[in-house]
Amino acid sequence: MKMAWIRAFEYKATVYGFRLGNIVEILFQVVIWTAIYKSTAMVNGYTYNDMMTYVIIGWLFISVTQNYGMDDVIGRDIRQGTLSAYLLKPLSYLRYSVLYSLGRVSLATFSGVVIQGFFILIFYKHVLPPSSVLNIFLILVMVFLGYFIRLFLSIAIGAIAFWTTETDGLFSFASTLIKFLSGGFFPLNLLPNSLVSLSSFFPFAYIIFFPTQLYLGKISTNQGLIGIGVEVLWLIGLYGIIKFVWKKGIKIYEGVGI
Amino acid sequence: MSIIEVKNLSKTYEYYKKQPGLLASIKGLFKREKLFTDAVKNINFTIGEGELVGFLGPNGAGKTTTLKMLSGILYSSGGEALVLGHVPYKREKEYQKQFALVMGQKNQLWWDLPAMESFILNKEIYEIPDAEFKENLDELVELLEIKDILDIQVRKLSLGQRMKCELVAALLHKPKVLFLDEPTIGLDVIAQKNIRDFIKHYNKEKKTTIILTSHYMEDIKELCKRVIIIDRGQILYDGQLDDLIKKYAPYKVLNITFNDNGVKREEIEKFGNVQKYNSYAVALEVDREKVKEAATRILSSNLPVDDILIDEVDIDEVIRKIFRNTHANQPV
Repeated sequence: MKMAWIRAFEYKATVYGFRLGNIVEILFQVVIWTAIYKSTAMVNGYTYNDMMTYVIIGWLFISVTQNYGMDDVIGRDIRQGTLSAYLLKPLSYLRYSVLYSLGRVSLATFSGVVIQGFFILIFYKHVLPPSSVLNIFLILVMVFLGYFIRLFLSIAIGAIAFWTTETDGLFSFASTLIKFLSGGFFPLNLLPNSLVSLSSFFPFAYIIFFPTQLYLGKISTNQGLIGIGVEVLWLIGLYGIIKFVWKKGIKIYEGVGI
Repeated sequence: MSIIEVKNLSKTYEYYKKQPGLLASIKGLFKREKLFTDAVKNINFTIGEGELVGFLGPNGAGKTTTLKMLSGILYSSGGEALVLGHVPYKREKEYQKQFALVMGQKNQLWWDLPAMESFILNKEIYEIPDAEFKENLDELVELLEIKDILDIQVRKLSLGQRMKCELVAALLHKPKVLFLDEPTIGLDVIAQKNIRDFIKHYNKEKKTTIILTSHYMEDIKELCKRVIIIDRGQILYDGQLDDLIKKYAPYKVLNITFNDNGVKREEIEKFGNVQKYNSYAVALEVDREKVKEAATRILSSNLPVDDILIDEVDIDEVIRKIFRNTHANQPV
């Protein structure tokens, strides 16, 4: 973990690149919504301020749950055979990945929080305060678990590299899909209700959508608690899936390239 | 006591044939031809404690695949292997703490960090106590003379320096078994010798069991008493290097130089099989038992002999001969 941290400093440029991309994307969403609200005061129960809050606070959650392409890191390790070096050593690659990712993101997360802080300052007139103190606590738990949900998803997706060598397109599709399903592009309740209730059974919505709803007070504390329960169940489920997939994958792993 | 036991070990790779061209690629999405290749076929050998065994064979012979199976990276497709009493692919911690694999072609250090950081990471991974770590590190660093490069990013090191660091990283936990896969590949002659001397010294001092693969005969000649020759997944020879020469080269070489007017080919042919010929220098293959007699006869003949040397056959030559023979027997 410490290593990944040191390494993160070596890759300052990557982190800045990511940040810059994020800023552009946030501005883009701000501009679009501002344009839409020129002609209407309400979109599906969201006022302009609600929406601004959703975008800026939502992005805060996106940036702290981000793992900056662990699926790629793992996929590459498998594809290029660097995984072999880990298989030799008395350590579990999966546990290593989790620690490595934590170390890797700490710097990036910090910078992400700082940038969102700036956004909140700039748009402070439009960013609403959190609905209640208790909810803040729930949100913290939810986002913390959200980080691991995203990480576990990335690890599971990365393991696809055991079966196919062409993974880049797949990974990018998966990450866009996850972002969409978690409400990263727009609030999920702009979609038909049936899809919203369906999404509550999947882990994705709990990464961004549910915590922002909780922040805006659009769902109750009880619903928040249930959400955390669902997250925990999914984490256990994903862990099981990863273990299973990994075991299968390792059997056919050929350690190519060495 | 045998440290490594391999019985009927096999590995079959699955792969798909890829036809060139766009149309064929699209066809390949729906129907693919599944093929198998036997990288290793039913090999057997045992290696005892402290042995330094050379693994020889052309590219694709199955050397690396075997090492990978022994180190638990690959599942075997058949047969069994036991190293230090462990089944490698189970990847038990106790086993992993007792061996190391170094690959000349692959980097196990952190590319963007100084080697020292990788050493510290390994210390944590292998749970090496502080005192032991320091002692081992100091010893290895001194032996390999790399004190001044420890704090340089690995990617900025030369290949030779990097290889030395790889060795240190692999030996910090004092492995009982060491697999070296082409540790001298791509190195210059001096760096090769450094690494070779180090391996020799280390094997002698620590009684570490070592399997070494290399394409450089120098490595094998210098380091290994015993060699296992493998080609197309099968063992062709397993035994002492010296015996190999006797078995496959039942002759010695007479190197004779002539002066004055030199010698004609017909004049020298009757003494043995001509290997190289020009009128002033001839190399003759002569049966081991007859070599002394032949030399005497040449000396007492009226040929203008300047000098005569009796040499052992070059090992490269012997091995080339073995591979050539088997390839001739097995159609591709």
